[in-house]
Amino acid sequence: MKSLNKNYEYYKHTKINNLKELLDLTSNNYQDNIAFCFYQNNIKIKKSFNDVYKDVLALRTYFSCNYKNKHIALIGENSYIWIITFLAIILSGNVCVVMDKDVDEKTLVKLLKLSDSKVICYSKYYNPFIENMNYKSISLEELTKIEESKNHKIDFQINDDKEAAIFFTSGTTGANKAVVLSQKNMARDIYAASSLFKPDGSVVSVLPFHHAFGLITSILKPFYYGKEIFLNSSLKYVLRDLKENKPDTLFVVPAFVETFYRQIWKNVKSRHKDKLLKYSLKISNSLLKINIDLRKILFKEILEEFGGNLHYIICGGAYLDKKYVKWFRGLGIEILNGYGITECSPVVSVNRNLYYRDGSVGQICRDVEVKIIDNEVCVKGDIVMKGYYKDKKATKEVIKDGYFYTGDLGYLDKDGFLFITGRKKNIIILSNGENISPEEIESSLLKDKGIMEVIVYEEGNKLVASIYPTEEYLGNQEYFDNLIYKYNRNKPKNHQIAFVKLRMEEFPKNNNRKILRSKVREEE
Amino acid sequence: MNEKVKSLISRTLEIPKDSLNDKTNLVKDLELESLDLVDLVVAFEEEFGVEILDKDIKNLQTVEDIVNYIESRNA
Repeated sequence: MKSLNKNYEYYKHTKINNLKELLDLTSNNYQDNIAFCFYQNNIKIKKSFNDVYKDVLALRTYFSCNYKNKHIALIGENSYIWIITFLAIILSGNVCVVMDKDVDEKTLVKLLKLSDSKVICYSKYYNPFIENMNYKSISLEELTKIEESKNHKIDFQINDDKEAAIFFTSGTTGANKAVVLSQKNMARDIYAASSLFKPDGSVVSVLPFHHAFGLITSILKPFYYGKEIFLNSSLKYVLRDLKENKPDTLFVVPAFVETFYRQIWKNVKSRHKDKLLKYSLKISNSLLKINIDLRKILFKEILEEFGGNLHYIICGGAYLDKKYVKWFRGLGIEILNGYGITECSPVVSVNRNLYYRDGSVGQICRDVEVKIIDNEVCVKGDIVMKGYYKDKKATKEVIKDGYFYTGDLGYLDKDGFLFITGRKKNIIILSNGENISPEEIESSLLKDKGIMEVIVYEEGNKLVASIYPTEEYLGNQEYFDNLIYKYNRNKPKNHQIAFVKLRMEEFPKNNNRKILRSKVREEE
Repeated sequence: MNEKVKSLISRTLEIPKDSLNDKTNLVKDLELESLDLVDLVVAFEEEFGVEILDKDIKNLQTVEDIVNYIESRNA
């Protein structure tokens, strides 16, 4: 892998304004090349860019004949028909309300009501209970049977700025917000992020489609680039799918990277090769400094587990410790962190293929403006959502003077790399009015080998560090007292940690593996 | 069967077997995340020769649920 590590020109491609232009562009440029492959009843199916175009057109005709300006919910496991239905609903002028396939019936009813959804497209296999709900519904299985349309061209007008899709955010506060995106929001995000990063080869998709990152970034962006995408249907088969499809790029959340890391160590330990791996990494990293790259030879066996072609892991959705980036680079896999938020369709910044900085979430996407206002990351541009559905008050609180206030704290370095330091709502305000970002202290403490996870909070106007140690240091109070003593030495008094609490268990987390801070406080 | 299931959980997750009982909730008590659950599901499939469907994983909350599920799939 050649590394420039200095900035270079944007990747060149056509600017798009809506999803119709996305389909026109890809079917013209890539025609019979493979766009998607997947297993259906154990048979591998391949769909070309022309197939996608025709399939969307057929369903688009169905939706536009039956529904006008309706909110249509879409729920089901990741599949080809899910993607086609999403595009067809939007191109028919209706609004696609994207649902988590694992919601229970009670939550589903709440979200359908919140989003004014009148019709549900659902998976008969995954969500069979929907058939008996008091809603107009059609299964994805039935939608696959809809015949090809007589029209051969998409010849209708698109309103780029009209509401097109609703995504629900899954914040750490637990309350769902309905984010309304237009076609322009999504099209511009595809263009903006693709200018910074491009896969060199095929992609295996593993993230759920109901998240903007899983759908717009890990599916629509490689599609725009004309790359082949393998649709993984179950996390059980991730390793099989990687081996078989030999991807160049994976889009994941940090939990995947952590799991891969654990699995690699588990495998080498079981074969008593852990010492050898440690030694080889050390040698290889030293050789790299003098431009000798033996990674493909030294780590062949491990790299083969990922198919042997994996160059890039694009990671977003939550904080990923720098140590993983360095460790995987040692093997020859570059982890490029990015930063996104559903309200920004979702990508705001990403490290580039050949221009990256460890600990940073990358360069700001093309045509996007980021301004740091009172330490908060604020975003302006075509990627900023239309608003929260039917919640003008909440929208006004976050969009001011055209800037979307992300609620994340951060800064830009002199080369324009964005760094995220914490969440605004987590800021600790001491009685003297001083603001302290717990995440900044946490990321500094996390560098220690004895700490697996750490949360810093305020108690009685003093800072407390609650630590979940690594296995070796479980219960070793003396070790951590010493560590905190050293940490405090050069810090102003108000920034010093007054107490250390040791845990025997991991912190409680939400589905995206983000630690639930409020729950930790309740527990302790 | 209950003992076999507990042994497998203990081996896969590297936790002591006596910390598990029939009512231990994998998600709430052991704080398992979806990817850890997948590890466990793959281990069960190999050991008991049954396929555990993705859509059923969210319903497998306790040791007892897993035992009942495997028995019903084997029936």
